[in-house]
Amino acid sequence: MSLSAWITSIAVGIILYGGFAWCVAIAVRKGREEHDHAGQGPSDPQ
Amino acid sequence: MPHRDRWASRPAFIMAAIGSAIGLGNLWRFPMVAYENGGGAFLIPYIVALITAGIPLIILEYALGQHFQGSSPGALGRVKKPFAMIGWWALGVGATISFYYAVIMGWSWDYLVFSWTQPWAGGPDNAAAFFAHVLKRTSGPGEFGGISWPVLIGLAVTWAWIYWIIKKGVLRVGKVVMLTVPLPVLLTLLILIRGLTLPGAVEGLRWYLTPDFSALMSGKTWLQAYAQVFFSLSLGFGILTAYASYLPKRSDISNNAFITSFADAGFAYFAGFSVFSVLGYLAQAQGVPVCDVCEGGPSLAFVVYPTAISLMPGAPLIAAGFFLTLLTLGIDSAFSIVEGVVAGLRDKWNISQNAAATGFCIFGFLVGILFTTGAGLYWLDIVDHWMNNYGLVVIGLLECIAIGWFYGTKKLREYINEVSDFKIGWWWDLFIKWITPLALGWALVANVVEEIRVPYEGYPTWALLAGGWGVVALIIVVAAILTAIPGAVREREEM
Repeated sequence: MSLSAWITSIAVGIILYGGFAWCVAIAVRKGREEHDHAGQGPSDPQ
Repeated sequence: MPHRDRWASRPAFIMAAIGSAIGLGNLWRFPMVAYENGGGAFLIPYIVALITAGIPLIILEYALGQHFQGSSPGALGRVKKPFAMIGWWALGVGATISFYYAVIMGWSWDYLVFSWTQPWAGGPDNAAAFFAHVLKRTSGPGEFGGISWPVLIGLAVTWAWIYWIIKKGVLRVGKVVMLTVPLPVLLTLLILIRGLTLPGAVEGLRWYLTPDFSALMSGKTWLQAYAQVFFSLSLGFGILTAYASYLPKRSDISNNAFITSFADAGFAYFAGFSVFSVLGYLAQAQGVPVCDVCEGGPSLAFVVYPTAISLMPGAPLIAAGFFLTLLTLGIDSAFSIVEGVVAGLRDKWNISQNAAATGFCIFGFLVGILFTTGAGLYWLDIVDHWMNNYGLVVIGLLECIAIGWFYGTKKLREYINEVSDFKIGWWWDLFIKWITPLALGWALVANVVEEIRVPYEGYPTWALLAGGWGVVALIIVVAAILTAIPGAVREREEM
């Protein structure tokens, strides 16, 4: 395969799969934060 | 407000949305469109189209469903009452697509059974003849011939499967997609690994990936990129709006939209490697250039691929794996379309999920019988062309106008940013108000001009009028009637 084919395919792979992984990582982090937040429960009224 | 079903979890929703987006087109359409429009260079307009049309519209459809907690007609009807018609139109187009999509899945069932005997082996001509034999194909759309019983049985099995999945609502859908979304990805990976170990595979990949940058100067390439993104993401069917309506109002929107879009595009790109490695092998085995064996659509899946697989050691197992891939790819898209319609019917008349699903699945099966006749393939081709080019594109355009110019993008964007993992900026307003409608409008005009210039695939005018414009007109009339007649309490409360 030509160099241009390699460069294009790698660049597209980075955008698509990198973008997907980045978004999933954000969702996982947000999910954990919400879970931790919910686990702490309401603050002590006293 | 009456109780609305809910997804069991966010991953269940995301998997269902990804399953809906990833369908047969990712495997048999994207690789060929890329190959015919500049190879690797096509990926540039494709990503541009994804960012400028796909992602903004998917955010729009999610936001509509989630904010208004209703299916497409209900949600759009709350923007302005007459806009409910756009929603019904979307569901009408989706319903029509489900009628023939289930038939294609019926073919896949038949081919899965035939995999063990490989009756198509012996070259592409033999495979094409076998395909015509299974379909009992006649000489044209005017000659219906008889019903193909294997296809009819496959159609019945498909509708029974769809009914079983959706009859319990999104809770069961959420469980099913945990299997039916990763399974075809895994099977495609296995076929890719097998393909890459075959002689000629690298030559096939060279045809797929070598960029022809001159294609970027052609308007057709850009049109194809926008069309591919639009069709592939399940936009304009009302599916995503219905699915998002089952999320609580405080759920994320923008990140879910990006995840769905990247997953869909990533799978299409990956599927291209699988397809072209096998095509490269077939070309080498037959001593012809790869371009000679390149065909898209059903021909790729039911003629070219079976021919290539029949030449491999362990062909029955690989063929079974391939048709199982088609079935599992197709089922998520099929039941998501049906669920979109069922959600609309439930919201309109406040009927149970089971009643709506039963009624629609029986109706869908009966209409689908038309496509099991000897003329079925011709009618399928005509209806599919019109639904994709004039149904979905017009709906996307009207959705942009409804939100961009009547509801207000800023108002909806503020809601999206309030609930989402990350914020979207002013660019979204720009796309929804201007760029996406202009791109879709351009695609629409280009399609109409092409239609006038050359009759689609050389079919007789009466067939194009009946199966193309006639079906579009029928859907519009039905959408207008459904908008005009009063609904049940549920719909009125939502209005």
